[in-house]
Amino acid sequence: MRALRSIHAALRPGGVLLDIQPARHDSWVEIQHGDRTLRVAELDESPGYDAERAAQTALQTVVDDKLFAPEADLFFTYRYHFDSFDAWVEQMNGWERIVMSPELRERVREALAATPGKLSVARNMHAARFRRL
Amino acid sequence: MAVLRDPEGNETRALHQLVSFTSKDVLEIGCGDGRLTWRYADVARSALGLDPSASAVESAWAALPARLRPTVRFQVADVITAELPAEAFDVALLAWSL
Repeated sequence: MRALRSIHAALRPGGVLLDIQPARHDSWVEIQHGDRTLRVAELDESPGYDAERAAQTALQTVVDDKLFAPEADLFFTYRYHFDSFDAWVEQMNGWERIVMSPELRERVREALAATPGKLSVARNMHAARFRRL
Repeated sequence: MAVLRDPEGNETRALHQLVSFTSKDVLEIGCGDGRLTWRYADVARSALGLDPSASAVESAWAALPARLRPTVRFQVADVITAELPAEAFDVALLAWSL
């Protein structure tokens, strides 16, 4: 809330706030195999749910307080491409809002052995534009 | 070991689809290493990137292209403590930061 109020104070009247956040429940580990994209496993993003809820609440509060007005939004896919299994593991271990379980690791390793290809993670993202009132 | 982020440019497309950065003063909160800054800074009038991570801001300064030096600045700060000037920006960008 304080962050959004500070942003409101820093923006000129009529200015624009653009918020980009991962959208829930649609992030996947994939293997790019030739022209095909094989979905290997959906990522468990539950550690981020509280933060996501807090962000949504904060945005809704500044809208209710008539500091900002929602104008437009869209979804898009943000993809990470990894040059190796180890690069994927390293990246995943650094994400606090993703569960990197031994089962997931093994499942991806096995899938990559069965279907050699390029490993990627596709995250569904939400971008929303708000007008500063 | 390498990671390529959004080589398809989907984030850049979404960014420019929703906001015009042309000749705008932009405040970017959670700028990290400047990954997103380079996607709009060429057309902005000015850009100030904030991030609480000193190492991230150091990386952003190091990666700042010479052509953007007159218009882009980075600062180790969060938006609450940064003591920003009032009503000084046209666009505020919050990417993965709220």
